[in-house]
Amino acid sequence: MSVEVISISVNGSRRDLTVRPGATLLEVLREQFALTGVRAGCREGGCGSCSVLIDGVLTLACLTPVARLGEASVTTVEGLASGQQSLNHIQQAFVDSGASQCGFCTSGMIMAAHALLSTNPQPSRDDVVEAISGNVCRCTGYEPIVNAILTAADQAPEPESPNK
Amino acid sequence: MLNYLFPSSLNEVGKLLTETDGRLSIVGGGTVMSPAVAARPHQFDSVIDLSAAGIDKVTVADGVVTVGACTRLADLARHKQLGFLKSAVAAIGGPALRNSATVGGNIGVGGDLSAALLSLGTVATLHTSTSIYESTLNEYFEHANQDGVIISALRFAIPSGGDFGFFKLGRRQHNTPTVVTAAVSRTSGNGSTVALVGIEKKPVTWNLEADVFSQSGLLGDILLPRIDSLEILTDSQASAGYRKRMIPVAIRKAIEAA
Repeated sequence: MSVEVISISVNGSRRDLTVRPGATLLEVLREQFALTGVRAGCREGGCGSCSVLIDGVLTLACLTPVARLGEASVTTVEGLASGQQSLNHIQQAFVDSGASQCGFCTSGMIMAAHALLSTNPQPSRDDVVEAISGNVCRCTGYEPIVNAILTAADQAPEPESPNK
Repeated sequence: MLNYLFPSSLNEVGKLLTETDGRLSIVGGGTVMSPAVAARPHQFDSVIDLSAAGIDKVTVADGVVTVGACTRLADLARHKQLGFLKSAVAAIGGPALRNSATVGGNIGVGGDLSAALLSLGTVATLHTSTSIYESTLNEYFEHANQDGVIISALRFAIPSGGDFGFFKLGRRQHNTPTVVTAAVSRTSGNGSTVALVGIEKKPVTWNLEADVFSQSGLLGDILLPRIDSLEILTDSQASAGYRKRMIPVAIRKAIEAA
């Protein structure tokens, strides 16, 4: 089988990997980085369960040829919490709001929420509904997820002052 | 062995189209072809990935917009002079998909943006392995076989305020397949263009001598004979009968949205 060598930055660490030509980011994250928080759902961009951030932009890993990444940085759900935290405020809000049942869509929902709150820290309910419109959930009926994201918006930590 | 190629210019794309033997796949945004290539790499000998070919920019000069075919839908919607296309872009998929999907890709599948661009009288720049030429988007859709034709750019004039409207009717508010997508533009000489997607296998464009924006009371007289002549689809989203009844509704709502 033919392979090619790429360099990829995931959750803050850069590694060199051999991948097959045409491999998607989804395949590489799950199989070579063991980041199984990135779900293999529909594999065709319809369910949102493989959502990641590439240079902060919400992207579907199943549709992204890994060869395109170049110097871009990938963040998965495993990379959201920082420092000593095990969960960031969005993840904690999902736990506290009962917004996860089977959990399959949860990673993608959290990534979509992260992308929304990064650019719109005080979204309306309609904004949240639109932000998760590319993520399918079969369990919750979406309301707990929307509520969790609105809660996370209210509970977002203050950004650190540049004067500190 | 799959040959995955990243041409860095349109000239290089043209060269590869001429020189590459075997089963070829063209990848723009990747929303259609990336999963196909990943799932069955052995069905292709070569992939030409257009993401580095320099056709992902929007330029505006003297009121005329030129959109590179690999411009991401999200970037199109964010462009400060293209706010009139925001609702058309928002009708397509979800936020993550729009960060990958391209204008050319959406045109290639006759998607919702096609209605908007058809109504604006868009001209497409097309490449084959042997030629580069321009064609109206309407003519592009009229040709049955588009294999081996790559759209590199689309050009249209920015409409004046109130001269363009878009509406998509679907089963859901967001991220929904279409029942009827309608776009309407006022054209010179008191005419208008109506474009519809989701009705027939290909987009439908009507160039009318009447200004439907100011003559909505005549909508029935103007459009009903044309609607009767359509071969309307039935699919999982809607029956042909329902679509037929919704066409005037979608057009009216597009006019109201202008």
